[in-house]
Amino acid sequence: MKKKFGEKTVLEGVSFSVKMGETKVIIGPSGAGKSTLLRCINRLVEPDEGEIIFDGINVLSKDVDIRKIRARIGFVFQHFNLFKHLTAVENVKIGPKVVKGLSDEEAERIAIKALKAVHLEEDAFEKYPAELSGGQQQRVAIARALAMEPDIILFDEPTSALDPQLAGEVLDVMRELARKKVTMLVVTHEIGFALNAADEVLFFYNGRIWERGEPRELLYKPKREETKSFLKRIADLSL
Amino acid sequence: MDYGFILGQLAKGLEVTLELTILGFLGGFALGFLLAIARTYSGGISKALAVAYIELIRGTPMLLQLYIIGFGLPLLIREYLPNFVMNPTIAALLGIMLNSAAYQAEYMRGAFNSIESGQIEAALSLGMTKWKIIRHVVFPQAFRIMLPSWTNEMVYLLKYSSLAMLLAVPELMYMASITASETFLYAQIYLIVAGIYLVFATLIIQFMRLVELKIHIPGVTTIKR
Repeated sequence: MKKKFGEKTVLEGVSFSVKMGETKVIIGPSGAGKSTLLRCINRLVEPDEGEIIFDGINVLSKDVDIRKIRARIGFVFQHFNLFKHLTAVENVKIGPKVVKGLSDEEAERIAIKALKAVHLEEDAFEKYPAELSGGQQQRVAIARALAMEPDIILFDEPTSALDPQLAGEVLDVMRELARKKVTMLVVTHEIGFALNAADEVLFFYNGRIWERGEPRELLYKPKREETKSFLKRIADLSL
Repeated sequence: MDYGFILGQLAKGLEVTLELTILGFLGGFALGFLLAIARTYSGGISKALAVAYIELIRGTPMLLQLYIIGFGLPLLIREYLPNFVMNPTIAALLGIMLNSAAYQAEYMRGAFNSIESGQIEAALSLGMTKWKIIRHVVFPQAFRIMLPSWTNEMVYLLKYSSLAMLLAVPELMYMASITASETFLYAQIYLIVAGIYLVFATLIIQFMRLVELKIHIPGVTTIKR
């Protein structure tokens, strides 16, 4: 897949796959095209060329109803992007209700189950996003994605806007999802998460997959110079 | 002179003024909503038409618009329907609706645009259609953000509906001026009329304040108590 913004090439030709039940982590410096890649997958951004095959369907082909595909792909954003006028429960309910057309009771049941899965405190269920901590908001956002029972969830730097303690509660939930074999594609700077939850780590650099491999292999013994210096800058793991 | 008679005349005028205000506001809202949607979310010809309409209305005096609808339009229609007579109240109401729509469209456009793109992306990612996003995400928030501008618009309409007197619509100012010229009680009558406008403007402001408090959501609107 390739993507240009004007003259600037953001994705230089990137190819990889994610299997069912897998957790794949993408790391790399800002501007490497990581977020753009995620946005291309559900076509929030239109790629210029290439193909994205999701469950046998080419997402980029003209006759695809992209909304049906999006309903099956969860997306968790850096800045949560909760609907500000809806309570935690309503934020999670809206997908099943408005997109899938489920009844109010059914949607409510699914929403509560999803909020419990992300360990949201019960007294926060009826609160509005502005009344929740960043960590709670991001967990509601994960529940909102889960409630759609997606085939894959894309995470775009889900903890970058959180301080370390709040990031921790979000990462715990994500690790739990990885253990439950929820398929995930995660762009993150959290090397710890990559190390103990990822099946494979991709290092993006200059719009390409510069290096890829098992987490331990890539994070402890990177082969290429750029990977080494990037890892050294964000977390010095050499003991 | 009988104050009962004067107040009776003013009450008739007030009724028409309130009709013009309320119906003008509601009609303006319906058309304004379509204009705002066209200007914000569509492209090409419908967007161009919406922009042209809004700027035409905002760029010309309301009195001129009322004259065109009240005096110009009937002449034009009479070319084809020789017996056509335009009811002045209908003409004024139409003018107020068409005028208010342009302003309300701009208030709504401002409110629509104040919803961050992140929420729109989240809604798109859930698989919502454009209309579902407008209906379930944008509008409920825009509605709340817009309330103070709406209060202003209603108060404006209450006062500027008095321009309809120049089409001989029997609204409050018109009734006041004919009653005053019959009784020569100019000062007294105009002071009473000032009081009536003030009372109803205050009622609108207080009522809208209650609505704002009632539907306030933290993070969407801010309220100083």
